[in-house]
Amino acid sequence: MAWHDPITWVFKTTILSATLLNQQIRDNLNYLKSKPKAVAVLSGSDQTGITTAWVKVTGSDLQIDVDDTVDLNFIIRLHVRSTTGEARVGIDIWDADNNVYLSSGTLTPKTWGFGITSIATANIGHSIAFNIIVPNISDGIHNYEIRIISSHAATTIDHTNSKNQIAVREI
Amino acid sequence: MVWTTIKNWVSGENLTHINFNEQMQQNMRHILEGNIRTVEVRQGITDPISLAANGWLPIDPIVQYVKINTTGAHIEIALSISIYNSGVSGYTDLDILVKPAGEPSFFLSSLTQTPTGLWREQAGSNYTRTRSYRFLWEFVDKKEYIIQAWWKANVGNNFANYTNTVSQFTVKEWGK
Repeated sequence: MAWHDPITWVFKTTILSATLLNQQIRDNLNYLKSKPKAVAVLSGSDQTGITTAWVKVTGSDLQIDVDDTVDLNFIIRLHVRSTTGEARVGIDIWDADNNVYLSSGTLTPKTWGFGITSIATANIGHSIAFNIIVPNISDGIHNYEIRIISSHAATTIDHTNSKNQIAVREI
Repeated sequence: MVWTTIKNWVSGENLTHINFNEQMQQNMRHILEGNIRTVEVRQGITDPISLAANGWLPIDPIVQYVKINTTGAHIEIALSISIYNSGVSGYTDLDILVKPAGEPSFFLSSLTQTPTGLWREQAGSNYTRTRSYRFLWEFVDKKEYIIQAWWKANVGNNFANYTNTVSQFTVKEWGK
């Protein structure tokens, strides 16, 4: 629903009409009520074979259509485990429109992206939970995906025992 | 402030103060104030216990829940809690029970009355871990809900550490 600049109502000049009321009250209330926009994705089957190269988290496609320039808040939570022992796991956000990792702003991410968790023991699950704000996102449709890397190839995203979710919202 | 469904204005309509108050005064106040319910657990409450043998239980049926009237948007549920295990290490499963007014309750993990666990946390023996969990529940029907945090230990005794930390449970309505 489009935003209409609020008019100044002028005594004996402004002609009250259904069109004006619908723009100033109905449309603008709908616009304000729909804020902040938010999108959530994920859960599904366990994703095995997280490797020492960055790989997309299956089902992590996030598309959000923002109005004006906004800040985006990514809320990421994944449950990960290693079947063989110690592992370090990193998470990053891939900007699919500009082909860059958001951790670095380039094609090459920071070593562990936005953050790292360490798994100490085989088959003991750990949460990776990040709350990240990305400022100054321009008006329009934006596409992102979450990518993951592990120091150990036998790392799994555990969906069976945890309803993992990735969400993005305007703030 | 109560939310009133946004109306479509038509030509020749009789404008009333009731309409203006509902559509502008009350709805704008609703948007300004936001629709958020929070309960904080700080002091004076015994640390709740989850026994593996007891299965799924509310973390604290007296305080750790909120009642909210939603308007048809998405809602975000946030739980911040510290958990430790008094015996051998094990894990804790956490879930959110939703009780819609006049309808059967269900867990967010399964959308049925049988929880499968929304979040799982490994709890080492006598090590306390604080975690903040969030879940975005999309396209929530307009209704009154009671929303409550539940948990289940897989071994021994789990404790929520209310004594030494603050626990918070929040339900907030967002856009869509």
